[in-house]
Amino acid sequence: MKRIQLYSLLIAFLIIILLIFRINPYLFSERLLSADAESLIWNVAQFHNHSTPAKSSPKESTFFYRGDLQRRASFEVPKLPKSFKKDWTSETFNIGVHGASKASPISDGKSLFVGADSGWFYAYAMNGELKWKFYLGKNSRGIHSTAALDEHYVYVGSYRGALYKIEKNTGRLEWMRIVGETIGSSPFIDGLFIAVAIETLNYNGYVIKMNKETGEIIWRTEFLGEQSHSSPALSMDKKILSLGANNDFAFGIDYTTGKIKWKTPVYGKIKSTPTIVENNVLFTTKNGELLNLDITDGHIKWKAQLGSASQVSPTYLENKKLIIAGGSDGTLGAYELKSGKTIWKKDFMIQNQTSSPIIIKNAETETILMACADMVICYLDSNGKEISRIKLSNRFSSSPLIGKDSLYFSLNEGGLESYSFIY
Amino acid sequence: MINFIKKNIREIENDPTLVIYGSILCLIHALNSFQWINQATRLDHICWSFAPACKNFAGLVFSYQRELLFLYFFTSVLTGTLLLLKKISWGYGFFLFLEILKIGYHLSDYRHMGNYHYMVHIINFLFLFARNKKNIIKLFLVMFYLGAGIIKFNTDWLSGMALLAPTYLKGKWLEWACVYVIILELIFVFGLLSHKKNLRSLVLIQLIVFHLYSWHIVGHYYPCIMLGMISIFIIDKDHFRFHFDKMEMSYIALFILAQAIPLIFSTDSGLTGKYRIISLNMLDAKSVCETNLFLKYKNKTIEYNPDFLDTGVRIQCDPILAVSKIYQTCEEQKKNADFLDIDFNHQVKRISSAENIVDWTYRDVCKNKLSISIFGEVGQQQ
Repeated sequence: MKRIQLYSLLIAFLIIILLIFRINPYLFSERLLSADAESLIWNVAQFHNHSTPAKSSPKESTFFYRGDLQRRASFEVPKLPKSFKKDWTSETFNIGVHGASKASPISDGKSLFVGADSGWFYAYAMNGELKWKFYLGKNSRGIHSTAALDEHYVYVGSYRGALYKIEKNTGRLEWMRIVGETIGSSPFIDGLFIAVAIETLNYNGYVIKMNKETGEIIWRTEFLGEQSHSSPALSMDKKILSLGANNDFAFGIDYTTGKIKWKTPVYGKIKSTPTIVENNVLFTTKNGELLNLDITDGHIKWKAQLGSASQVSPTYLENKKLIIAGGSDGTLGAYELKSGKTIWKKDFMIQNQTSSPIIIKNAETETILMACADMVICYLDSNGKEISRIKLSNRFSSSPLIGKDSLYFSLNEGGLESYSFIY
Repeated sequence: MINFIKKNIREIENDPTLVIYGSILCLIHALNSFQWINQATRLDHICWSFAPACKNFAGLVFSYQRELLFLYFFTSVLTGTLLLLKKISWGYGFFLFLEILKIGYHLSDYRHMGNYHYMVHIINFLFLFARNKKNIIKLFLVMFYLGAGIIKFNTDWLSGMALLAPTYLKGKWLEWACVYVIILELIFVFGLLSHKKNLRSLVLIQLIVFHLYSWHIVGHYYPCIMLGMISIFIIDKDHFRFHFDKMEMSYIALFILAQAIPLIFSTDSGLTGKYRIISLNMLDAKSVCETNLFLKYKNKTIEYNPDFLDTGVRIQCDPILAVSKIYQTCEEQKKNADFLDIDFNHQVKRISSAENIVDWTYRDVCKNKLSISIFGEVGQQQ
C-alpha cells in the first residue's frame, strides 16, 4: 500500500514538472519568462456603425501632418497672399499641458479637425462653428498628435497610446485600439494603411502599420531603443519609412515588412519629423545639425550646422532645391539639397522655437511661413525676406494649416485662430 | 435538528483542541472586522451576480456599517472568550451568530469577494456543522492548497509577474521559487496528513515560512488568516484519520465540484469571472484590463475609463464591476437631455500574455441593458 502511495506521488510529481516545463521552457536557461510578456497592444474595439456605408478606397484624398508622405510641408494655393486678416477664434482648448508641440489643425476643405492637450478632439466647420467634439479618455497630457483624414474618417492618436477612427461628419467612433502607451507622433495614410510611431513609458518605442479599415496591425517594428517623437515619413519609390528617435539614431524601415533596414548614429536626439526629397532623408537633431541621409542605406551624405539644438522639422523649396531648417534659438536657414551649403540664414532671436516652417506656393512662386518672434508668424519669400507678419494672441508650437484661402493656428494656451488671405 | 446541533456542541466540548481552534477562528473574525472597518469608506456598493437587486439590503447594511462592524468585532472577542471559558453552548451560539453576521455583511458588496473569506466561511461551516471536525478541517486545508496549486499553472504565476509587489527574490530565483510553491502545494502538502510527526512538521514549517515570506508582498491580512487556519496542525498532536460519514463525504464532493466547474466550463475564470464565485481564487492571475465607456451626447462623445484599482488585483477586471459601473452611469446620465447612450468595450488579459481572454464590445448599453447570469456570464438584452 505504501509503495502504491509512493509511486502515485512520484507520478504526480513528474506530471507537475512536465506541466511546469511546458509553461516555462526557459527554466534552466538564462532567459526569463517575463521577457515574453507583451501587454502593450490591445485588441481593436470595433464600433462599426452600419448606418454609415462609407468605405475607404485606396485612391481617395487624404490629409495628414506636413501634407504628403514625404512630410515636405509644401502646400499649393490658387493665389499667394500678400498678408492675412484675422477671421475668427474658437473656444480655448489647449491649456498648456506638457511641453511637447501641440497638435496641428488639419482640414479636408470642408471641416477643420484639431486635438487639444486637454484631451478633447474637435471638429469645426470652416466658419469656426463647432460641429462635434470627442474626449479621448483618461490621460494626463491630452492630444499632441495631428490627425489624419481620408474621405469619411479622421484618425487620431492620444497620449494614452490609443488610436481612434472617427466618422468625420458625425463624430461617431468607428474603432479604437490601444497600440502602446503614448502616441505623440502624427500618423500618415497610405491607401488602406496608416502608420504611426508609438512610445512606451520605459523610454522605448516602435512603429506600427495598420489597416485603417479594420484596425488590424500589419506589422510592428522591433523596439527602437528609445522613444520616438518623430512622425514617420515614407519614400514610396524605395518603400522605406524613416524616422528618428531619442537615442541619437535615425532609422530606415522596410515599409512592406516592418524590418529595420538601416540605423544610423547621428549623435543627437531626433525630435523632429524628417523630410524626404528624392533619395534624401533630412533630419534636424538636438545636436544642432541638419543631416542628409541616403534613404536606401542610411549613410550620411552631408551635415550642416544649424547653430543651435533643433526639434524643428525641415521643409523643401522645390524651385530652388533648398532645404529650409531652423534651430531652437530662432535661426532659420536655407541649405542646398545637393551639398548642404548654406544659401541664407536669418536669426529671429526667439527662445525655444518648436514650430516648424511650412511652404505656401503656387505654380511659380514659393513662400515660407515661420514663427519669428514671440507670438508672431512671419511670411517670407524664398530668399528669407519678410513679406508680412501675423500677431497671434498666444504662443504657438504646432504647424500652421493652409486652407484654400485661409491660415489656421492652434495656440499653446488658446484655441484655433483663423486668418484669411489678403491678395 | 436540535440533536444535530447538540452533537456538534458536544464534539467541541469534548475536545480541547477544538475549543482552542474555535477561539482562533474568533480571532480571525476579529481581524476580519478590522479589515472591513478600514474599508468602510466606500460610498456605493456593487451587487453580487446572484442578487442583482441588492439595493435595499445593501443600502441598509451601508447605513449601519460601522455599527455592524463594531458589533462583529465585539461579538468575535466575546465568542472567543466564551469558548476559552468552556461556555461551549453559548460560544457555539455566538459563533453561529458571528458567521451569519459575516455572511450578511459579505453579501452586501461584491468587492468583499476574496479567498480569505471564501476559505474562512468553509472552515467556520465545518467547525459548526461537520462531524469529525478536526479531520475534515485538516483535509479541507490540504484541499485549499491543492486547489491553489492547480490554478497556478500559468505564465503569470510561473514568471513571478502575478505578485502584487516587488519581492526580495529576483529573476531566476523568483521563477524557481514560484515552481517550488506549486510543488509545495500539490505534492509536499500531503505530508500534513501523514502519520509521521516529523514529516508533518517539515511541511508545516515550509507553509509557515511561505506565508511569512508572502507578508511583504500581500500585506498582513492573508498570511494571518492562513496561519490562523493551519494552526490546527500545531495545536492538534494527533494525526489525520480519513474516517467520514456520508454527510462529510458530500461536503468534500461539493467542494471538489466547485473547484472543477470553473476549470471545465470557463476558459480562464481568473479573467472572465465566470463561475469564480464558487471556487478558490488565489494570486494565480494578475489581470490587466481596459474598460472604455463611450458616453454619447448630441454633438459630443466622452470616453470614460473607470478603474477599479481600489478593489484589489483579484477582481479589478471583473466584468461585474464594469457592468455595475454602466448601470450607475446610465442612471446618472438619464437626467441629461443631450445624453443618447453608452457604447462599451472591456478587454482583459493576463499581465504575462498578449492574448485577450475577454474582449466585449456592446453598443447602446443603456437602451439594451447588459445582464449578468448568476455565474458571471455577460449578455445584452435586445
